[in-house]
Amino acid sequence: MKVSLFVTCIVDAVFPKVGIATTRLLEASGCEVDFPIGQTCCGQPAFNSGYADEARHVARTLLEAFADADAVVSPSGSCVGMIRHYYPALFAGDPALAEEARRLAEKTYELSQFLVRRLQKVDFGGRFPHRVTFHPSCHGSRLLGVREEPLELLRHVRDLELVDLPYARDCCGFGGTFSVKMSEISSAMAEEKAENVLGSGADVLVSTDMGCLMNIGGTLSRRGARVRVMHLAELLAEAAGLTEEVTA
Amino acid sequence: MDKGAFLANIAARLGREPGSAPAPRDAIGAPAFWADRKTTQEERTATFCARFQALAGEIVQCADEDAVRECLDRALRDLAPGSAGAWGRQAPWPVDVEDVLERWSVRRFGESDVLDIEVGITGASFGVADTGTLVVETGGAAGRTVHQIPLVHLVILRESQIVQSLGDALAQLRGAARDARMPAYVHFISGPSRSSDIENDQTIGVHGPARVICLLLRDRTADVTKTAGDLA
Amino acid sequence: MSAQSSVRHRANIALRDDFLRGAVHFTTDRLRNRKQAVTEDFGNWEAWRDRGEAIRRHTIEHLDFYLAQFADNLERLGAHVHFCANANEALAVVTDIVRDKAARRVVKSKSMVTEEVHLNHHLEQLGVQVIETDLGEYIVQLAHETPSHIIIPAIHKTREQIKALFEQDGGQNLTTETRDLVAFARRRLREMYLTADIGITGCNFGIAETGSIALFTNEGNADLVANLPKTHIVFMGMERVLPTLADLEVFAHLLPKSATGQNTITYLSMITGPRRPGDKDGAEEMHVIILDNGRSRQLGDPDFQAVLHCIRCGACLNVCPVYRQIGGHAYGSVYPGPIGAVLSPLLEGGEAYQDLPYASSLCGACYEACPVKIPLHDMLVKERQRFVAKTGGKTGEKAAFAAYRVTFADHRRYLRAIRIARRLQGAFARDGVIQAKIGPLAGWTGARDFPALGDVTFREWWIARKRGTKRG
Repeated sequence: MKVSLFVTCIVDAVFPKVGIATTRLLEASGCEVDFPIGQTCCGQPAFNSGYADEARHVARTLLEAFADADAVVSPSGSCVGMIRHYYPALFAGDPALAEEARRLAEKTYELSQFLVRRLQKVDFGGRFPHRVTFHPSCHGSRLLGVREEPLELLRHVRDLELVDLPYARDCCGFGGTFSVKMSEISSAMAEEKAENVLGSGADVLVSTDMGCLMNIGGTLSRRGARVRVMHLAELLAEAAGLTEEVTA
Repeated sequence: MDKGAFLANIAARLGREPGSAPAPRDAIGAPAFWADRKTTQEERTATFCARFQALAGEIVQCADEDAVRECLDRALRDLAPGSAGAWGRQAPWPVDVEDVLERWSVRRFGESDVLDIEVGITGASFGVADTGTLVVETGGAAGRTVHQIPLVHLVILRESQIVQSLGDALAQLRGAARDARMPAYVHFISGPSRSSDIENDQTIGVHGPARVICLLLRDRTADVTKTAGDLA
Repeated sequence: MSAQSSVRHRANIALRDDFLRGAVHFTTDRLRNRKQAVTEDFGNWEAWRDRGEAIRRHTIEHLDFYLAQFADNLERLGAHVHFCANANEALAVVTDIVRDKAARRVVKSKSMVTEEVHLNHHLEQLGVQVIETDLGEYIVQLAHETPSHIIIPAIHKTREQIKALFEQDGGQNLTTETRDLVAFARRRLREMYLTADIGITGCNFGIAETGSIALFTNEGNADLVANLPKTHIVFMGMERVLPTLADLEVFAHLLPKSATGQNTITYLSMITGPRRPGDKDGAEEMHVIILDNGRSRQLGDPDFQAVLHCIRCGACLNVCPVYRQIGGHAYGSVYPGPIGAVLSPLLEGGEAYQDLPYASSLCGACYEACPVKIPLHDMLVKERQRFVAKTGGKTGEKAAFAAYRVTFADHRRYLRAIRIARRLQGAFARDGVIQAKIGPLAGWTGARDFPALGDVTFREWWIARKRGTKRG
């Protein structure tokens, strides 16, 4: 199966390891992975701040980059949520673009959703002998309805002990520009999430969105907490020995 | 603002011809899976009792009308209120309890003041199984204050008055409304008055009764002969 | 907007109030856990939500018809119906009634609409004593405060504070025991009901086909307020109508289950006009004030009409992670939480609450909790868009997104920008993180580390890998 990777700007610029892990997992699932270079950002930072025109302008890069893709896969519930939930309305003013947006929305998947639902691939082999807790990203779980898929993938990793995260479904406080505009409220939310991560007794926190993980991880690291923060793709790839150096 | 102008503004905003009839709709009231349930009287009674008691309501099961009178008599003896009040004689009592009320010199609504009574005695129109609710229709001799003022509310209900759903009770009220007989005040009561406003600490008897005791006449079944326990 | 009047400023005060935050955590946890338990027990919750939404949508789409039917029925029963475009008109109606009755004392049960028009203040100006009778509202009134939660108004008060307030109101030998405090309130307020000239209630739902007012309470205060004084005034938002009694069953399940996790409300009171001939108690005169106050502006607006579907259950507050941190007063509006952040700027229409839509991480928990499925999270984004469309946006932010627009619209410019940023961050990054409080990052790095850009972007790795593959 041919798959086009939408890596997201945050993974591209800050967490390339997550993109590499995603690529390796898709390849290990038998996919032929393509990375259309014209892609940048889904437009969500501008969109959520009320700058719809700016968001539309940037979002067009994705419409163009993925116009010919069969399926688009991304390691972010939030960015896929933006495409699936908001693109059709965002481009409603232009019938041609609206049609493209609708087509893109239909063929775009969050990684765990794609692996479990489309490919029925839940086991990548390998072991991960750690206590792991899972934070469901709000957009992944609520906008996309991706709830069970990440857990199903984690349950298939041998020696991995999955522990409950108290108040798992509460937002971590990231919210994109919210984390800067309302930083005190955002920090208080992140603090509570960090408390709950520590309270879970897990050594590893895993999620499907780097926005959340950057927020929770940044709070944990400021506290000097020794919880390892990983994207689901990183964990699965590491367990399965699908790692690769990040060099150019 | 003038009524016509107020409504015309709404219609204009909605792009509607003012006063035009609404589009027909399928979704009226509870969903079919709820409204179409078929239950036996026995099931309804059991659910009503369980729900009502879960809400801290009390139920005294009475095998026949004499048992209702006995239970009421015992309740008034055990509670020993400084003053008790009841609906007037003309009110729709589910069971005739006049002699008991007379024996205990219970004040009658419409004849004496009931604004300081400690125990209030009324009938009810329906019991609702789903929610453990007593439906009290008021009007005329069935005064509203009789059950709102006191700390203890004694309610007489026949098992055959227990319906499954709020919708069933509302449908009967709706029928009454069509004949312009729907009372000005219908009270749906599910247990004693309660509040959690002080530090989330649940407490009962805030403004309404702290105890709601239902004297339930099991008029649909012959095999139940439970009588009242100590009510004090 | 001055800094003091901003939600951010008020939130920062609330964030330092440990008692408030503890109380809000405790209460909202309890309410949402109970809601979850009761809805699971009830079953088919999504089908009930769908039904609730369908009924509300239909009603609002035909609001002129149902409101007319409701008012006609009430008038036929002898009630006086007053249609009021705004707060001033509603207060003028109250003034006339108060003068006509030469009223000295008014008892009230909980009504958010009366908070919206600042009724108590108005009555006090008229020289009328107003007493809130809902226990929580009574406490809040004694403290000269406003409710901090739609359902649990005194969420922020300790029992010690409540005891002190009751002592000021004449309580003697009180303890901090709930039973004791409640007994005092019962006695004290009972005197008030019996001596009040007018009782004022809200209206949870108006039933169009019968002209009934449906009131939901747990304490039983609304019944005494409505029935003991000679005159009963009902305040209702114009959207609070349901077509039929049958529809009421749906909301008699949705409202208490969503609000407090109760399977049913303790008292559902159906008041259908003033007392009838032959009735010996109940209010002799009934006035129903139907208020617009910014609501009709939402009708016909595809983005916001659905906000009028709201049944004021407060479920969105109980799951909101922002409300959880800052409580209700930080919103600075009558309606707090997600519904307040959406509704307050819409009703007000001016600039007073324009920062409220930004007090959300857009996590969508509010939508998920809403018993009538109002897409509050989408509405918050749309309000932000309207704000930007109307004002052009705030200067710094506007410049940032203008730059974003240019940079991110082309992958070559985008990669160049990342490479420049990578060089610039050198001065601040340590061990892969930035802790320095610089520029727009200052808020973030106050309590959190920010990750530094990697040495290589994913796309650079991809291109190198592809070349390698080709070479290999």
